[in-house]
Amino acid sequence: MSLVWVLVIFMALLIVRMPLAFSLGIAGSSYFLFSDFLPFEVAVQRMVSASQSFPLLAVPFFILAGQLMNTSGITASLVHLSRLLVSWISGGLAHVTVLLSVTMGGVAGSAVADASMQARVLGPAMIQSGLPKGFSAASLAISSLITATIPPSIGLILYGFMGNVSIGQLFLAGVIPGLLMAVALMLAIYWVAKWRNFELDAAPKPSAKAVASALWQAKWALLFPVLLIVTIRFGFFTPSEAGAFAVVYAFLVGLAHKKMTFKRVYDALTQSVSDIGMVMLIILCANISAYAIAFEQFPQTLTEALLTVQLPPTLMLLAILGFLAVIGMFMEATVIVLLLTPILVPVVTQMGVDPVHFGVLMMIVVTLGGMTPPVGVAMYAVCGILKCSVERYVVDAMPLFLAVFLLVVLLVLWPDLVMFLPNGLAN
Amino acid sequence: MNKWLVMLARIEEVVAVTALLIIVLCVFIAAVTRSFGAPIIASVDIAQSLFMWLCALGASQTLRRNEHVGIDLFTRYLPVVFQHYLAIAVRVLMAVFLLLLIIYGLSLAQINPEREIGVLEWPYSVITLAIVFGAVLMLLTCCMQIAELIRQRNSVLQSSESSSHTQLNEDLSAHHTKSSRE
Repeated sequence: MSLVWVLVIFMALLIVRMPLAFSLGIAGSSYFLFSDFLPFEVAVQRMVSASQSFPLLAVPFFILAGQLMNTSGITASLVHLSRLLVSWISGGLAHVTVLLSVTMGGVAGSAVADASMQARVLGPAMIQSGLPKGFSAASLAISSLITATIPPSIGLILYGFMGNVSIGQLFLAGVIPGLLMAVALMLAIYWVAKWRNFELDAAPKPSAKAVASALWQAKWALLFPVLLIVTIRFGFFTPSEAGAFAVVYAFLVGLAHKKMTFKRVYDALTQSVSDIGMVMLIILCANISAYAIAFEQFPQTLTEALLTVQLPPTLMLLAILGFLAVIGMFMEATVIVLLLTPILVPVVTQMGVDPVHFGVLMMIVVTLGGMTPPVGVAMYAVCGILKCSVERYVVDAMPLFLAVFLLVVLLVLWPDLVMFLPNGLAN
Repeated sequence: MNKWLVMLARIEEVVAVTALLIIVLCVFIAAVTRSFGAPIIASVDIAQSLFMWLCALGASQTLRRNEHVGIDLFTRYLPVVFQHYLAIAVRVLMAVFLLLLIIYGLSLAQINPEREIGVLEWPYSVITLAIVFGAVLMLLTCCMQIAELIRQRNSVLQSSESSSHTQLNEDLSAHHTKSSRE
């Protein structure tokens, strides 16, 4: 049986609303069932062996840490700080959602969770302050792209696991692109606010004293991403160990804020168990399909085909990213990372592109697909909460898409921007 | 009957939460002791073997809450009755897949009984059996959901004009959360 059939079965199952994890599992299993010499025990073994990867332990840790940080009141202090710092700039609360994604990015690992949380917390206030609905929804959704880039990013953990790339290096490589993304989006928001002449209830410039007090309140939340990056950069912790450390850290901060009752902690734990079960079942089942892809030697075939095309590597890289962006519009980011990473990492390595550099670019492009129609989980989440039509969202999002697009081109042409942190200090 | 299932769900939840806590502590302790130059290797092995159990029990919890993500982009345009039968068919197929995991998981556990986990002297089948155990629990939930959908069939046929399938699915998960609170 060929890979094409596996893909057809997978798509058919998705269309009839089979849950994603089971679609991956059943499609991958069909490859084993119709094979004459592959025993089905190997498929089960593939699921088991995925759980025996130490780097993958980072996934449950950062999910739990994110839940505990919410319980511990860290989120509230970050919202307060971000509002104080940037809501006076032209564009108002739209800047706040960008800054909040940067600070929260060091805590929560998923773009969709970040976008819907911020839509609830900031969305109504944004519209009330006079920002158009479509533009509010667009800045809420697209700024969550920063969360997917800044460590700890669950997507980058999965990329590292599937492509056998160092997760520590990926984390470090995501820092500068994440910060640049924040700058690019804030510039775009500022420009749109001037150009469309938004009339907003202007917030006053904050006093130095108020800023200092808000900074002090949010100190544990702000210290965490710094600790994370420093400990991984200097090799004190592996990303998984840093994850376990994050859980203990979030718990202690919660204790210090006197927010940890038994019931709240237990609720955070049960919610995490369910989230972990959902994500991990998808990963375990994808590992069955990944075996079929490797067994058919598909990456090798694709590499050979691509190498016959005589194009400069930069153009090839842009073409691959364009292809990923199109697929990203139709499929969920996690699935693309799980299925295409094992195929694409050998290809780009052969082209002379660093897989760490490629990982960050792939993550941005694929996650952006969640913010565009027709299938955009983050977009639907935010538009649903703000009751905003997709048409208005798309029109108002255009300048922000443009900013992201320009940033991706810049990161492609100038790899050092991405590779500076993982490599730079060593040289 | 129902009382036993509620209790089973409760036990599953407590065991999964405990596994998660032990995994966190084991990795944390291993990291701390290692930086002081006295690593405890066994603690990482314990974490790693519990991880499969956490995944299996967590996946079962998610299925119980009917929260495994899927795409309703296409099915939502179908007639409600058709959606209903499709939902049953999807769960039957899931049950077949789970049954395969149980049968071949048991067979896999017997293939190499001498293999041990790292420095622990536990048989490797401790990890393999987690997947079998999780699949049994999910198969149970799956059958319950099929039975529930069949039971609701008549009311769906009657109100096929007014209600939508999304509502029906919410009813299904609401029923489960309600029954687990009782």
